Amino acid sequence: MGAARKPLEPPTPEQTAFLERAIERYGKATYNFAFRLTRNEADARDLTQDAFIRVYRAWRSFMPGTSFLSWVYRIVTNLYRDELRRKKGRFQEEIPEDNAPQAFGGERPLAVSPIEDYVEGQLSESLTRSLEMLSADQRAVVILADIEEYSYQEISEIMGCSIGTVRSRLHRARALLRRLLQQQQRAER
Amino acid sequence: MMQHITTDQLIDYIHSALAPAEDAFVHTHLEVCPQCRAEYAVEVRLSEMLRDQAAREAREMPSAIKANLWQLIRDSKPSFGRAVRAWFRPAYALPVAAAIILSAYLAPTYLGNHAGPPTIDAAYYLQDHAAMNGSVPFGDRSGATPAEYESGSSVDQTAVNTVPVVFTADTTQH
Repeated sequence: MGAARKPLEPPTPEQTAFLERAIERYGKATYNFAFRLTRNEADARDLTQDAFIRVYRAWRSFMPGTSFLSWVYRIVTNLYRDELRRKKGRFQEEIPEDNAPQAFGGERPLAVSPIEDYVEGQLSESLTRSLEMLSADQRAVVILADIEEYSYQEISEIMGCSIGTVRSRLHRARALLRRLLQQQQRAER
Repeated sequence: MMQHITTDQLIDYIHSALAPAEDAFVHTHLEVCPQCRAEYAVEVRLSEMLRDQAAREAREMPSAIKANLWQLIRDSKPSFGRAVRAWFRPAYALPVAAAIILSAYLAPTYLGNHAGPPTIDAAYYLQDHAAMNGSVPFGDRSGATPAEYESGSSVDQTAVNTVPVVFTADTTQH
């Protein structure tokens, strides 16, 4: 990943203490977030390392009293996007943003959940596969909203987009997850 | 016909992202509509699955990350700009400034004037100083205060005997 390419400056004692504390308190959360985003241990390691190098370099820009974890997640998300752009030349194909609700009206079938039919292990595997099929931004929104339990407002700040965009990404990501789980269920039968 | 809740509304409801009025509407509707309640249960289950999955996958940060980070920092070198700026930090700048000022002050003494500090010939000093004291009644060698001198009870007989010669002569002249 990219952040380590530029040589580092020797630290001041305050900078060293800041980084030490950041790794101690938030290293695990940052690594897990990176892993959920990349779905890959090697990439998660690189991403976490690059994120803490950014923290080290930009430690003065952190505003005390704000959430450190949100700040680190923003760094991780941006680094991951940069990395995807660098690898692919362009960002992963996005489903067009649209804030219009996906109405099903009164005609929809009764919710038949594929989820309930699965045993835990199969379910976990299917979910992992389904998560991998989401775009990076959709996956990030799902992780932040459902796993990290951030509000739409906080997610919009972390991802640098509007609340409307967060909302539509989450709606589409969850709809896609459900569809993918159903498809996998059918395929396994 | 009863108006059902959309999936998007349910997702926002689960994430507490609806406006209060809409939130209240969804809440009330779910109590009376089994169809929407089933849909809601699916969305809630999906959220639970995601959290369970995350808990199962949770792992410690590999120690190699921390080791690599500190290694990179240990190998770091200051840039030219930072090295220059370092000289302007008070810890360096103040002693350097003090040394420059002190040098500027002492340089003419030790570099410009090779003859050394001004001196007085010892023999001249002793003769001149003794001569002056001899003729000055209240000099540091006279030993008599003005009152003692007036009353003639000076403890220093040398001064009394030597000095009044001049004074006596002066008074008689007037």
